[in-house]
Amino acid sequence: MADGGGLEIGLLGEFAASYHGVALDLGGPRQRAVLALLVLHRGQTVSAEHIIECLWQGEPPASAFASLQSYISHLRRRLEPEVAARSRSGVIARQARGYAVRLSADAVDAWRFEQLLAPAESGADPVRRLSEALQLWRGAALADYADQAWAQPEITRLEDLRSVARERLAAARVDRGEAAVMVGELEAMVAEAPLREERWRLLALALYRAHRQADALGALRRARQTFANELGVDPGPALRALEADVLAQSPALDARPAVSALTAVPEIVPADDAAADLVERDREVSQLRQALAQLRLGRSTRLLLEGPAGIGKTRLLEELGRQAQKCGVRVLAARASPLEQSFGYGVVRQLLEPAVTDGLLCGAAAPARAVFDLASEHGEGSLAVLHALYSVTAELAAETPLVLSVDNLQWADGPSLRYLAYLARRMAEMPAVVAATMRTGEADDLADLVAELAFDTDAVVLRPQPLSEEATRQLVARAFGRAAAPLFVAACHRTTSGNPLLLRQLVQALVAADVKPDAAHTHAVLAVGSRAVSSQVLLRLRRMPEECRRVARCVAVLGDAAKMPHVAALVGLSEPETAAAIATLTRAEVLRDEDPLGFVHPIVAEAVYRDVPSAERGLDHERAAALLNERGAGAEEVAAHLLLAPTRGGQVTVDVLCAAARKATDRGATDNAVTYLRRALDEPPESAARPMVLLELGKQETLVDGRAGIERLMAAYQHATDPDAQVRIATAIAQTQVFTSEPGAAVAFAREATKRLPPGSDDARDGLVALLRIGGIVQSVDPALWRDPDVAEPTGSGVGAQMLRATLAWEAVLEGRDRDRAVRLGREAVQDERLWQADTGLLWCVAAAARMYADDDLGDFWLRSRTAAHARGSLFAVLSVNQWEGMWRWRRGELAEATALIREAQEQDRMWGGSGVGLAYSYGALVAIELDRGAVADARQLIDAAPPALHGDGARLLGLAAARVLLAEGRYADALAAVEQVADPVGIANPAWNPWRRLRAAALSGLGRTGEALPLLEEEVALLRGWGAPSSLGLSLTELGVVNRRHETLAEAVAVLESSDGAHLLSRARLALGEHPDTPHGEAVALLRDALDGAVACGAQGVAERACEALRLLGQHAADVPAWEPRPTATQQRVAALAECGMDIAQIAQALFLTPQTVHAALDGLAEEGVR
Amino acid sequence: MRPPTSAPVTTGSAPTPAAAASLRGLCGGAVHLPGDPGYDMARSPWNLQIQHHPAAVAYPATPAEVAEVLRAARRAGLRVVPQGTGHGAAPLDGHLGDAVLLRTAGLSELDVDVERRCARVGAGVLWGDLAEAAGRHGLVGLHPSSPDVGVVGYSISGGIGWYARRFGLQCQAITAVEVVLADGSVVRASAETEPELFWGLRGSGMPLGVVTALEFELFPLETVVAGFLVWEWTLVERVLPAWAEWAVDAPEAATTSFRLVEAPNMNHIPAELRGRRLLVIDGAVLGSDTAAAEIIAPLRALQPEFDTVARVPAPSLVRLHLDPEGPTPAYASSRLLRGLPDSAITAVIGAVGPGSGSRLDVAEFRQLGGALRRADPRAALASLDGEFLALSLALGDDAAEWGRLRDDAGRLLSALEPWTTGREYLPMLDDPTDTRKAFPPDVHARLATLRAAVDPDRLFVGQHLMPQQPTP
Repeated sequence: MADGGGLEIGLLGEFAASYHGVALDLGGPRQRAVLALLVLHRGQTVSAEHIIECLWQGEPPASAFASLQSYISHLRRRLEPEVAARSRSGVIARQARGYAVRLSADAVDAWRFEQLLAPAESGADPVRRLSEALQLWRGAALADYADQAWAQPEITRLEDLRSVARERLAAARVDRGEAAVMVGELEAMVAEAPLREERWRLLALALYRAHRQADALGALRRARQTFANELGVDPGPALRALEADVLAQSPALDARPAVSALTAVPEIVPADDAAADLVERDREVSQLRQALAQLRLGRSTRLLLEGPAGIGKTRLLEELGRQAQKCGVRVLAARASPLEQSFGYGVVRQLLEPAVTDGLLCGAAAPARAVFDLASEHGEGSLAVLHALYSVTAELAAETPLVLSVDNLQWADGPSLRYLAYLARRMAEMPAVVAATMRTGEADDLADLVAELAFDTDAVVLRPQPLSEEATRQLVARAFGRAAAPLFVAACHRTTSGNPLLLRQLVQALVAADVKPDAAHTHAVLAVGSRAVSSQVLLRLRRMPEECRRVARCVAVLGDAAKMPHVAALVGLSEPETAAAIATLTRAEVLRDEDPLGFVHPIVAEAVYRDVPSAERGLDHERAAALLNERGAGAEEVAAHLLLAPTRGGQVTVDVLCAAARKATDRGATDNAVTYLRRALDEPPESAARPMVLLELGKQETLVDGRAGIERLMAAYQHATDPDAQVRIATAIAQTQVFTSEPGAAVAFAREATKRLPPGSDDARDGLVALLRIGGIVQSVDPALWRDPDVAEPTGSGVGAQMLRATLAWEAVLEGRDRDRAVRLGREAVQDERLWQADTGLLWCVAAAARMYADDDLGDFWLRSRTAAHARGSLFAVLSVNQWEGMWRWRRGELAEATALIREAQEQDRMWGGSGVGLAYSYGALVAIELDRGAVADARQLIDAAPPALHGDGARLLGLAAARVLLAEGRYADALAAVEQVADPVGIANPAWNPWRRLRAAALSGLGRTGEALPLLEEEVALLRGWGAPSSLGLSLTELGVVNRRHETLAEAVAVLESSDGAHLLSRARLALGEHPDTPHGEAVALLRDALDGAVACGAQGVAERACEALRLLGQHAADVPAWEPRPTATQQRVAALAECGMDIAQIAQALFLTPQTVHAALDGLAEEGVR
Repeated sequence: MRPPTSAPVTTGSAPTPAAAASLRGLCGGAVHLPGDPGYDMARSPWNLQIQHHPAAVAYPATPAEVAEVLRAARRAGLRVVPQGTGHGAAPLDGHLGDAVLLRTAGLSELDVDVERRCARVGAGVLWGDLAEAAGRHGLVGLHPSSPDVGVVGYSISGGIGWYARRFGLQCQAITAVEVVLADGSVVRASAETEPELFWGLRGSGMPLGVVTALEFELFPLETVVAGFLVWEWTLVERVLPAWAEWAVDAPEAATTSFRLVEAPNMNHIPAELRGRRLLVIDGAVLGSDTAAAEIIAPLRALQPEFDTVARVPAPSLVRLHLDPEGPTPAYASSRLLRGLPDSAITAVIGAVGPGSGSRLDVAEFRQLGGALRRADPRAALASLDGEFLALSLALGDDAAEWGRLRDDAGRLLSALEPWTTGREYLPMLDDPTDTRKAFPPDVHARLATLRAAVDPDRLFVGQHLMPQQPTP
């Protein structure tokens, strides 16, 4: 039997159904009625005839049976959205003669109502139980079927039960000592149904217990009169007995339990009392519920609660947490604060620390160990950490649905924001809710990241509005325990503008000052209410005992989550004294009543904090830092205080800050490391330590802001006296300058640095020369400035020598003459993988690129690189691998895979925050790939969106890409002009890397100037024959064959490409050859079929379409234009390979640095496509 | 409306909104300027007849904030009017355009020192609050007839309460005053420190500074015999002379009032009396039940229709008079009377009695004498001479009726002109009055000198009109 799992059907009101809180559309009135009818029969079979009889009131049309069947099938689909069609019979079951519903007792409100009514339910507080039962009612039972004969009996029965429930509730409350306050309600109930004896009895009893004997007897007289008038009978025995008892003042009439006056206050608070202070937040709360309902369906939601301080964002976030916990969802919460803004991954730690276990932090998640201070080795951080944290989150969500809640996102540290942004883009299928509050008008330099979270169209943004005067009235009455004078309420509302925090603080202040909520005290409201929250709190604090003020101040200085013993030590009070002061502050709603210590609201914290004169604040932070250091707190926790303490030139401070910077670096919190190091520099450090601080700072700064980093490194370079340090600094500078400085700067610097090298430092020299030369190439600098034709091949085996080999390999590619040399140097450069130690992406990838353009087999180079990059945890390394592996896959015709990788690189480039040099490469490649796929419009969009590159080799690549788009658009004259505009100061001879001739020829040919085109193409073919890489030569031959229309040229192209990896190039060549009139029919058909298959496999839809067309012209009917279908990507294949080895999903995910979800998705995709 | 007899601070130019804007942000934000959402509510005093339009309204909560407001007002060329509830705001009507209304509701400290039998209250504390707090310890203050009157304003300008004939004026119970002077200095005035200022603050009602807190004596009274006696008002010719005669000779233990009143149709009035025109004698009698009964026996002999006089908890006396609570439109005027001989009573009946056509809400006579007559030279208001205080009180929110009510109020006091003492009791006068009428000439001169010393630039606006003394 299906329990409905989330299905809820409502009879107590209008007929309705919902699934996990989301209302279901049940269709038209008859279709709805079918379900209502079945539910009314409570699981008993209802014959189809009877249903039809009811639905059409005895006048069924001929099609009634068919209609009924379709109603049933529609209903099943709507009631069981997640169940496959064939198995949808759980809720509405087909029985021999008809249908029956299969629902758990909880699924139908009326059934639950009756359960709650059952007196057997012992133990439970009857008032609560009956209130809950009555709260299930939304209106008259089955209101929309009130006129239907088939619904009448059940409506009558349910309404009668409702009356009984109300009477029982009234009785329970009278019993509980609320007699006096129940009188009014009972009067109303009597008026409503004057012939229900029980109501009269309760009314009289309540009056008697409220010490109104005469009124009690009066009520009994009225009852007697009513019964006589209406029915001509006497009241029943219960009323008669009561009358006798009242007259006798029988002790039996006394209320059973003696209750205090306090509990006798009428219960205006609904049963769900924690939500009672949420006034006028129905819309928001329903959105929260919606998010949780989605969560139960395995869907994610991002919620952003936005608004001014005090509007109730935090309260809503807490409500989300509360409701989530109620339904078994795990809640991980964090609260950002200004103090911890420089504490890298502070928010992430708060969020995940309670949940992470050692077992969770392995494999792909291992780099996250650094975030939780569990790692012993140092790494570079960033992407690996982000990815690891993402894996951790995904793992946790796979265990239990998650709510990740972040309060005060505007104060979150940069790395944590990056994590949230990273997560946000990858959580579509993760059962998680990410909810955050953000104060409007406070986003600062992290605005972009925050915006990424906020303004994504998928995010649900809630903006709670100010409270109305009516809501104010309710809240004031609740706080004072009685109604307030209208003038008093108006003043409360007017002075707080309906801001709930202001109002709460105001009311708290007024209650604390024992102000009566009457008209005479209106000006007390104005006096307090028009104060900002901050001054309200400060005023209240000022009136509290000295020790409370000092404790508040220390909590403010130590920041949220301050530990009580630390507070005590900082205040200089004993722990019991401190605890007492904390209790007082909690009662006064200054501190919040929960662990860990913290203020009720950030505004309050700020107010207390700002109230301390800034000089004293600095000293407080200094003392806090010393205290925390002494008590073994983490370097970063101590550093957060040191950042706010005065500078004193203390080497201990510098050491702590440097240690904190290392920690931050380990967890990839580069911006925080920079902050710590800058502060360490200001301290200032002892002069001997200064260059190393500068070097560290420079290296970190280059990761977030290359130019700033260069300046810092330059300073370090100037201060450094140790030759080793000088070389390290110089290398770092030159390396950074390649991507950040004005053209030529890297070259000039490296040249100068080489001159300063002491004799004997050959390897260092090799390294600098490598950077000098690669800088010249990448930045397109006049070769006279960097190309020393006599440079010798390095002989050493140091890192510098490897760098130089990589550079020389690339130079060999550019020259395009000696392919063997390029391959040899490229292989040598990477053979011992030592290049990784010095260089995380640049020259390592240059060496690979050299081999790639020489058509050397790279083997598993990329897999190893990827593994190393992840292990190293360098974002720059990962993005380099993605970029160049993408280029590699492009050359192999794996167009979809190539696009995916390069796009990933692009995203990472932005994340890296570099100068965007890499973007020119990635856009250039993406445009060309789109064109290879035949997606001209997409290519146009990309090239238009590409950031302008003004100089360097990237600018050349972009320029050529722009020309390619124009060619594809048939704008030959523009294309010709575009090609001619592309500058090549370096003089790249090899058409494999600089195919300008081919593009120019294509433009000329398009313009009908074949005569000018042909020599260019012939020249290119000749050059490439000299170079000898088959894929480049084959491509060039194809172009030539298309223009010179010679069969043998195209035949050669096909032959050459058949020996290459360039699958898409081969397809294109086969297409051209197949279309050639000299190709015999049978051969042509075979070629075109191969071209079609190959193009489809590559995702080159343009070629595929043309092949189809050509086949049709040859009278081939079999070939329809196939829609492009995604083929298993390399990722999927790797997953499949490991799966075949018997590894489970978690193991595969760890081995390949993927998330379990991605592995799942990959396997699902493979299964769908029938790939084993 | 009235000739300005006191010269304002000379500032050279008229205050502009920009001048007041410099106050914004003071008092933690509790400053309301014209156009602000809270301004209308903030500027309205207890007496809804009055329409102040001050340049700004500020709600300081500490003496330091008061000083800030004073300094800012001075810089902006504005004057300052300290105001608690605004019960006595009427004489200032329409003259606050160049002034900052400094409302003291935020100064809410309230401490009862049971040992020393004294209280320290902030200027925002109302008598109802004090009565309750002191009553918890069996103590009473010399409170007025209504709980929503502010302690400070009432105390520093006199204060006739239900124990006045035994314990004197409330101003004489003051033991120390915390006051912020015009120059922003915070001063504690007592018999020991700043004795001259202390003297001036005890009953003069002069604007000598902003009183932020007051310390005064409390009296150990847990219960007291109190209540009211009621007659149909047509019996005025029999009851009023009898009360007047009794009042003059009654022991100091008794303090009462006699009212010709139309009982309002309101919840706090006993149902039987609502809407009727009545004679009401109410008040308190100290001493044992027997002694009290003996004292009021002559009044009971007049066979009141309604008699609630009984031993009651002392704090309840703050509501004995059944004055309207909360903001109310009102007009009050008063005269001190040498006595109420038959001829005066005839004049009263002619002015407001049955057949007079008067619609005056309250015509009241407060029983004076006793301790009120004994001079306390350490208080600016040393004593109240006279047997009775005659009081006209018009209430109501019917604008059309207002002129008539004021006429009726004036008619009673004019009729009593022959029996007045020639002195005025300023707190019960809603019309601006020359302060010289309230004090003997030497006392007034001394006050003028004091004021010139503590507020030479006349930063503060006085409720009543004090002619500038020629500089000596």
